[in-house]
Amino acid sequence: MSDAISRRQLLVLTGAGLAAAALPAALPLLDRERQTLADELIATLADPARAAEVGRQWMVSTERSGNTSTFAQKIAKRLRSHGWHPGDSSDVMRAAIGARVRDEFMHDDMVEIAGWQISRTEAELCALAAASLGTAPAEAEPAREG
Amino acid sequence: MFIDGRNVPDGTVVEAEIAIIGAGAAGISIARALRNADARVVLIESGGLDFEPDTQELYSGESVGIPYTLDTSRLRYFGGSTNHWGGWCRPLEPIDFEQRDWVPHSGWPITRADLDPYYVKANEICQVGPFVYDDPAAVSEDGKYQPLDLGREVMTRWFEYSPPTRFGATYRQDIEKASNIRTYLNSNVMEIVPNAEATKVERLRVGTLTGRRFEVRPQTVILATGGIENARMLLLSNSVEKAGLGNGRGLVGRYFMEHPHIERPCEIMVTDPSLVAPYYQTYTKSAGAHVRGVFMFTAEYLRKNRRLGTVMTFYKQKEVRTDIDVEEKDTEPSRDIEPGLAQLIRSTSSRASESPVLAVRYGTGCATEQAPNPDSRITLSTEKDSLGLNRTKIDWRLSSSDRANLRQNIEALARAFGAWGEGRVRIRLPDLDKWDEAEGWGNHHMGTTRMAADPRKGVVDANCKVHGVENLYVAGSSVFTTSSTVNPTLTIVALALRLADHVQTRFSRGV
Repeated sequence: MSDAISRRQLLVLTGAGLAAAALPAALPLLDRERQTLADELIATLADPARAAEVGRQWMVSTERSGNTSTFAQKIAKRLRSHGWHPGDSSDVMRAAIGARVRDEFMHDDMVEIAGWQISRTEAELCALAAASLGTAPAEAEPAREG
Repeated sequence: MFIDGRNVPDGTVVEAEIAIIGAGAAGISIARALRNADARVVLIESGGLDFEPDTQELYSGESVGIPYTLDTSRLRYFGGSTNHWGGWCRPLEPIDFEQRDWVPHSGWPITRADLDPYYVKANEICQVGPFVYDDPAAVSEDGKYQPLDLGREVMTRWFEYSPPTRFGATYRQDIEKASNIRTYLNSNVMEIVPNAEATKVERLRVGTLTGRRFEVRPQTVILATGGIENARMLLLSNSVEKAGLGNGRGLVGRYFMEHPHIERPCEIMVTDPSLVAPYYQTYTKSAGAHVRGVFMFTAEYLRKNRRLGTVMTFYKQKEVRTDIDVEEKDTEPSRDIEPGLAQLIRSTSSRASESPVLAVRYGTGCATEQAPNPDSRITLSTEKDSLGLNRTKIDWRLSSSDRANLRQNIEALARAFGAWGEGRVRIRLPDLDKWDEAEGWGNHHMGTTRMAADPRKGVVDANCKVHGVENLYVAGSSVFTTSSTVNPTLTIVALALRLADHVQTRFSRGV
């Protein structure tokens, strides 16, 4: 069999490649991928334990709850508009977070913790750390019908 | 020549071309400017050369609005309130003179350009040094220091410090030796008496606390007794016009403005203190002047967001450390999250700290502009002083929108520091829906004889002449149409020098 591929095969492969590239945006992440994403985001924090305390206080003061998965996905969704994609290096992720944070300040997307004005993504990074360390307020049980 | 009014025989009539009532920053500046003029000048000062409690007591009065101290916020002796002046100098911004459609009653009939040449001279009189208020390069110490890059809403500007000049002590000799100036000390003008039509001043009734009474008959009168007393003096001059001289439209005393001062309305955390030039934190000698960097808001921001201005100062408060400072007796709640916040900033903007010092927390102070309000005013009390004159009644008012404006400006500062990347802001100013108590103020009394081209909108015209009275002028911050955000003394002196030029020109033309 010849090494050469047919035009049909090329089209099929190219299409599959394009579909694969689109997967992270189009398909929900697997649990394992979500955990990896959360770990990568937490790894950008200089002091995750202190960040977790900031996050806990923010969640308590705003009566907010959430888990690592929801916070990680929210943050990741925003970072995509700043040039980050799953699988990118931590430096790229850190740069995207920095750009996103500055952008949020410029657009007045701030939250308040004990008077301190921080960006929404910063607050959610802290909340993610709190959820990861188990210090976040517990999520309320969904109401059951019947 | 200095003359003690207490030694002037009763019934004396003093003739002069120009009478200046009040020897403070404005009165002394005008008298000095006229010291070689071909005109006899009489300078009339209520006090002597030093503080006297009995004279100072004439300043006591009644406060019925936001509590305000009338007696300690000014001084009544030769040199006036420059005797307790802090020395902060800065010109008003060009936008301060404009009619801003979002600020009712705004719009001076003059521009900043009209005052620019006089600001330079005023800088000399206030012994300030070179005029480098807006020049980052001049204070960079050969490029060593740069202002913080806080974007398009917040800008760094510089105050320059006067020593501060005590006008009485510094310029006493100039006044005393001038052959054309007679200064009457311990002499209180009790009424500015006009002709029967109240269109021209004929004489000044003068009295002393010892009971002497005499008159000054000038061709031109310049009232320069300060931002509150100027209004009171016109209101007291009511033997012909019952509502007070120049008060045909009831504007005298209205629009009283101050600069509300708030101690620590916010705190600022910065990761690396080396980014913060020394001039932000204290008086710093630079470019031949003593300067202080402050945060102000750009004209672009003020226009776009329809805001009044605010000036914010900045000083080092405390290091934010990873190790707990057990000595700190800090009553503020939530200090425990500050190391975490400092690390958070470092997570996105710079590297993690190797040392226990993560950031520095800075305190702030602010002075803010209040919108002109006709109900914020000076009137006459029914109580009388020891000269038998009605005391001052002050009804200072601030509005909820003044406070909301300040809060929004601090939020803009928070945006600016966050977008810069190396700082975050903590807002401490309580978000209240009314402002009926001031934490502090600047002893800056403005607006009570406001300047306007239209007599229906102001007491004096663009030349500081009282509308409808041909030979009566007002000098001082009472003519300010809007308050701006900066300390008024430099502008008071600049306006006084401009007025001196105007009066001198009139005399040279024989008007």
